[in-house]
Amino acid sequence: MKIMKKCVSRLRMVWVVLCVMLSSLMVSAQDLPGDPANGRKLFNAQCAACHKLDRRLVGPAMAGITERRSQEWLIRWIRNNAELRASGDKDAIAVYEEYNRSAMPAFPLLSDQDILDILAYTIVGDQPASPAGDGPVTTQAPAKPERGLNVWVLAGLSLFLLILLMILVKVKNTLKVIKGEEPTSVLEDFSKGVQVAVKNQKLIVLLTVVVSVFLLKELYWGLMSIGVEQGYMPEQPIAFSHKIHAGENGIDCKYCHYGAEKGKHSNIPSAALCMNCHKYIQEGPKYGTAEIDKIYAAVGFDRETQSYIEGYEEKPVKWVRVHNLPDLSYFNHAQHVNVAGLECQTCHGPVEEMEVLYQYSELTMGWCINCHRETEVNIENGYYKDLHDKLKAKYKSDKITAEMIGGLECGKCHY
Amino acid sequence: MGTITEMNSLKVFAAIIFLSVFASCSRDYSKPGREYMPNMYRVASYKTYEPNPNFKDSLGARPVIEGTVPRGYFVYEAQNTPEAYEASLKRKEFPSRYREISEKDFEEGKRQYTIYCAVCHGEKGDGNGILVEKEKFAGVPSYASASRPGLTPVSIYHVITYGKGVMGSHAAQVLPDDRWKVVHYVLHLREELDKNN
Repeated sequence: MKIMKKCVSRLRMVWVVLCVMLSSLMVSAQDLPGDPANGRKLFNAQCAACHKLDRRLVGPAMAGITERRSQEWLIRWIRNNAELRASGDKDAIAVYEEYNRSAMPAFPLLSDQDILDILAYTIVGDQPASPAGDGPVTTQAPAKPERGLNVWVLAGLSLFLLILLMILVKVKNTLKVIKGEEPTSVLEDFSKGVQVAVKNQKLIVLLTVVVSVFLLKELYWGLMSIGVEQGYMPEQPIAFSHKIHAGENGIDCKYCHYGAEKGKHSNIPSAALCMNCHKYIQEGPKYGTAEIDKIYAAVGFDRETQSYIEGYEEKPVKWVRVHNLPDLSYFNHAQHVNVAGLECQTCHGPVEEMEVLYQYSELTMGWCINCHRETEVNIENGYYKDLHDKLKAKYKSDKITAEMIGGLECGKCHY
Repeated sequence: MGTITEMNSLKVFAAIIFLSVFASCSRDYSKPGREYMPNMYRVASYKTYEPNPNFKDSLGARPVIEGTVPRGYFVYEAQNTPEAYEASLKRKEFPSRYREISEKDFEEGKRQYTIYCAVCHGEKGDGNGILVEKEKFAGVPSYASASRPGLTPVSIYHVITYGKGVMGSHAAQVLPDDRWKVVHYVLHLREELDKNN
């Protein structure tokens, strides 16, 4: 009997290996233990939180699992691994120990066929042409056509104009030859014109006035921009895109900058917070693994073993600060975000559209004061009704602005 | 003589063109720009995220001393171990302080859930957040009893605090008091999901 069993399991092994080999050449549903399309669905719903096909996550990689374990064992393990471990199965206990004793939940609701479907999916994988239908989403190459296109359009246009100029010169010279005059080059024509212009005093005066006004204007704005960092767009140590995170993926600003509503500073998130998502998402659409590896280098996460390196000396990411008020003024994020209920975009602009973050607002005193003059204060809170009524009577208006409650007092920001 | 005036007028034109080009291209946006009397702008003290050479690790933002408990904070004594999680599954009651919450606190729980949890777990708690829909994440479980039978208030609190599986710790983002509000909201979503099934 024992020999029979061994033979059967051997045969099964051969069968499974054959399946895998066949599937890599040509996938036909008959060679698989189940339906990989249904398996994919089930895998994504039930298993993908802890397992990936191609690499270790919380649990081991699932590709080729049918080569390493028998089908019965897998069915028993997936159905209820605690029971299997309790029965003294050595393999089961070894797996449990290897993966830090984090117990896999039981799946009593999965039928035998469901489990076989999942196993079929682990054999087939995410092949685009597989019966699973929808393979992995092919990431589009990041196309940045606008800028390149403009350069080419401009180059083409200048080439066209140059040719036009040459043709016109040719026509002019041919006409001159017909009239019996000497042909002249473009440069000669140009300098002749300039000579006429220079002799015209009115034109020189006009030109001087225009140029002086232009230079004065440049000087004025040059001086006015001192200390105003609007448009500042430094290169950051990690090519983090707010457009992808806050825009396309719709993650709330406060998910990372949670300090904005809690304190004076809006915090720069730690690399550990990045790991909340990037422990799972290990490849970006644009830079692949290069930029995400910088997070791993900061916190000491090892891609190979998919775990944190013990005793690793963490290296903080040296982000470059963009928004920087002079230290002679006081600004509190919580007061504006939590109390006034302002949207982040009011001051920071359309951050969710910024590939590289830049300073959107002027952050000058005039800019602050303007907003304090215009912004109405919420006076709905019944607890302060008496005070609000007094203010309304004082200013003879139903609209109370930040200015009216002392938003322009020097000492509020400078002390 | 004629050639000299020719050269001069050309020079004038060249100068004008050069000046206008120079004036319009002077701002380099990778630099913060010019400052007038920077010592009025920048105080000598270290700022929040600035490197501070007085500390060995040069971190300006110091972590609090381990075991520090802010006044009035709830203390969750369990550690981040699989055993502690198993134990939390057996605690089916809220701590008395958080058993009943006001409408306002419930709304606050909902607000924080929407910010910190909904991207993965979904607005309805069905595990279909925007990141799952975009296939960035897979396998986020639903809160429904059929999918996760054993959830208790304390186990939800434990998972927000320490994370579980792929989910990371959200202890920094959701403060202890707020965490219980979020737990109330998660249990509310669970009821709604169970009702609809």
